[in-house]
Amino acid sequence: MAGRGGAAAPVLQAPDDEQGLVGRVQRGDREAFNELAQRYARRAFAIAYRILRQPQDAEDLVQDAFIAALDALHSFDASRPFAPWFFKIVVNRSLNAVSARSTRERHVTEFHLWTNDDVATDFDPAESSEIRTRFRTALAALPKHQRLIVELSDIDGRSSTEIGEMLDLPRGTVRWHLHQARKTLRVALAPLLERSM
Amino acid sequence: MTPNDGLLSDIDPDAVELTSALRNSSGPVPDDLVDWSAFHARLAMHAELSLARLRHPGVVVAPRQGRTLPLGRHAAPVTRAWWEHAARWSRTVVGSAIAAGIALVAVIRLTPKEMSRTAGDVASVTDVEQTRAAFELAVIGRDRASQSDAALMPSAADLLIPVGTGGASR
Repeated sequence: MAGRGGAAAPVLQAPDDEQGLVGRVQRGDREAFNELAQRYARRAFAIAYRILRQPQDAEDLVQDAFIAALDALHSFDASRPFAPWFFKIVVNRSLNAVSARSTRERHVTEFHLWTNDDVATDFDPAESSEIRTRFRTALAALPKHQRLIVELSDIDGRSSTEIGEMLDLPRGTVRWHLHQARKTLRVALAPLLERSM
Repeated sequence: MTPNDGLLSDIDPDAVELTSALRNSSGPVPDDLVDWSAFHARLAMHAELSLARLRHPGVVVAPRQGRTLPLGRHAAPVTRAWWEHAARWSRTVVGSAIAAGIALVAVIRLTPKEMSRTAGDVASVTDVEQTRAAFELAVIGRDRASQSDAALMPSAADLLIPVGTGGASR
């Protein structure tokens, strides 16, 4: 399960047969597409969920992203790795969905979007509730890109190269955002971090 | 260790605890809530049209009739508003109107001169004829009806011999 216990997501390296697989999908091969979807659906779901915070919305979005990728696949260079290109579609659509949802539900505050009591943790319930609330508040206070970079990097365990490819940012910029976000979080969560030491 | 060490690599030793706390507080991605078999079945169904497009890139599906047509030959099935037609034809209509206007101006600029000149010429000939007829009638008492006779033989006036001249000689 992505994200639990800090399990790092696999690096976005194209498998040996990926170029052939994408080439077959570009020719309309149904089986090849199913295989490609099996390969990337869960990771795409993890990314979409990190941004949307709603499993059902994330599931629908991944499905739409696959169809969008399929419709644009004729212009995709099959010699390049598929995953960063596809995850970029997922990220862009997720961010657009969040913007649309924010516009639609102005009464829902940023904090409420982050509240998800279905998520289980290893903490003591009484204490973890307070800690989670503080962490979410601190994360929600970050700029949108920094929050996403922290989530993809520190929570999902993705490299800055991967994140840069997804967000269309240079690797150095990703690292700078990550550094700034960590600095902000350290200040905001200093009492909690000291207590846990 | 400087505060900017985190910029140099993805692994920031100072951030280990923070990262761990973030992971614990954010919780796992609930991908066990998704029925992945149903998801892939649904996705395969939705992808059929896109895959068909990739298999047959030169063919499109006409949305109403549900039949395939070669690309570029199908007529647009949607009705258009009048302004869309106007916009579509405006360039042709305006161009044609300008061309027709130029041609019309050219015709108008040439034709009236020709017509007025001809009419003037006719009018002047008629005037001369009338003046001449009136003069002849007044002076020598001959009208246009006798002109043909006059051309054949001398008129009475031409034949008049002064009485005084001839009688005096006899």
